[in-house]
Amino acid sequence: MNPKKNWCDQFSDTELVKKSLENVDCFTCIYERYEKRLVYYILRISSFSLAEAEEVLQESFVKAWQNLNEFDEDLKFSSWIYRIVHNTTISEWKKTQSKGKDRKQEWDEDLFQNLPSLIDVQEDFNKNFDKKNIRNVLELMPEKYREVLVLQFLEEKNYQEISDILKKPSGTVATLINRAKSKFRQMALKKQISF
Amino acid sequence: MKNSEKMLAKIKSRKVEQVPKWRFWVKNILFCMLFLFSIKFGSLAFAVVLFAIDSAEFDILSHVTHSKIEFLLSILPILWILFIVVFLFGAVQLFKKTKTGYRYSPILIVGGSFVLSIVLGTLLFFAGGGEKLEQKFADKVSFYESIEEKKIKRWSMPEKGFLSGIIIKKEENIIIEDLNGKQWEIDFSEAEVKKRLSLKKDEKIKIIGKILEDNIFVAEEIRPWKGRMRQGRRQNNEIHD
Repeated sequence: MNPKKNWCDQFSDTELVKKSLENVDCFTCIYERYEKRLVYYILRISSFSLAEAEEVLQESFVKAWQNLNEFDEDLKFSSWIYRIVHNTTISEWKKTQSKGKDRKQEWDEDLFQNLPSLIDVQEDFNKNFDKKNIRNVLELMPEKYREVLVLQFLEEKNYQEISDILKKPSGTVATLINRAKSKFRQMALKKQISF
Repeated sequence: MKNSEKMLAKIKSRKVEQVPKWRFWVKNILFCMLFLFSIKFGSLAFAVVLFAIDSAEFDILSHVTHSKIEFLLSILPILWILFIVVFLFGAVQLFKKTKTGYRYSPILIVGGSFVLSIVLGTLLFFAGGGEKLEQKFADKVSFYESIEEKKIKRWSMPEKGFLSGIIIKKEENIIIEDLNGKQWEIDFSEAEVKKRLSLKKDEKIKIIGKILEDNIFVAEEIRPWKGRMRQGRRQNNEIHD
């Protein structure tokens, strides 16, 4: 029997992890808490369809449950779960590419409805940004740049969190973000996309 | 069926078992230990490099009449420098695989590992570890030419001005037996003799000079077989013994 949402809400992530270790049913609380943003995240860093993204998320959570004892309270749970989802997505995405599937998904207009406020305060992401154009440019970016831009500007993660998700030092993350922003600008100019 | 329920069903139907906590601890400890081993081996390699440099006698370069590059290559411990690079690379990779290793910048990890290897390697060198390891390595690895063997070769070229041997007699001149068993009369009347030398029987020496006749060698400089630092260490060991 799955726990009710109200019951789940009274616990923090760490408390839910402890409860999940005792009773796997409690793991659904964590799943539901993160489901929406992680599905968006998968879609932002890959070109999976929504159904595929949900499948990838489920697989990521199965892995997460299997390795739940690895979770350390020194780390934010969100960073830990993002890391697993990130790695699973990249690995699954590479598998589909190696199978020769030419994946160029049509973007769902509602998919990016929650583009965060951080974007519009960034110099590089003009106030009058066009969500579709951002997506188009992001799609053209190399994976290493796209993932940091998505994490910082769309997922609103700070440097430390990005460092924990990608398992890279904060300094490297900062450098990647700077390069990614400049690459983003170049790509936008090249494609004659203005924001 | 909600997605969360689908996920739960997958866990249950596949009978997914959780990896026990101890396995993550063991994995992390293993990486930490392998990192420390890499540092240790890097330090040992560095101790051998110091030993090689100590034995190298760069100051005889000015007396070398044949190819100086060939001479330099013959005294550089290239294999051990390679070992340092390999172990340092290994240490960095292993450190990055520890639980929080990824948080540190590569420069810091490389720098830290390098400094640690240098400090430990220097201590090991002064404790005689470099010399012992190099000797053991030479005993075990047949194709490896030890630093001592290279040194013997270097000092067994009287035609190029480098001779060595053990003093068997001292009169006006000294008589030595070189490392190939040949006897030489050494004219050292105008030679610079290092202070540490007593030129007594059974003393092993190195000589820079030139052949005058078939078995007569005019010395320009006479040195003890072992370098200053190694001799110092040997004396210390003898005192402790």
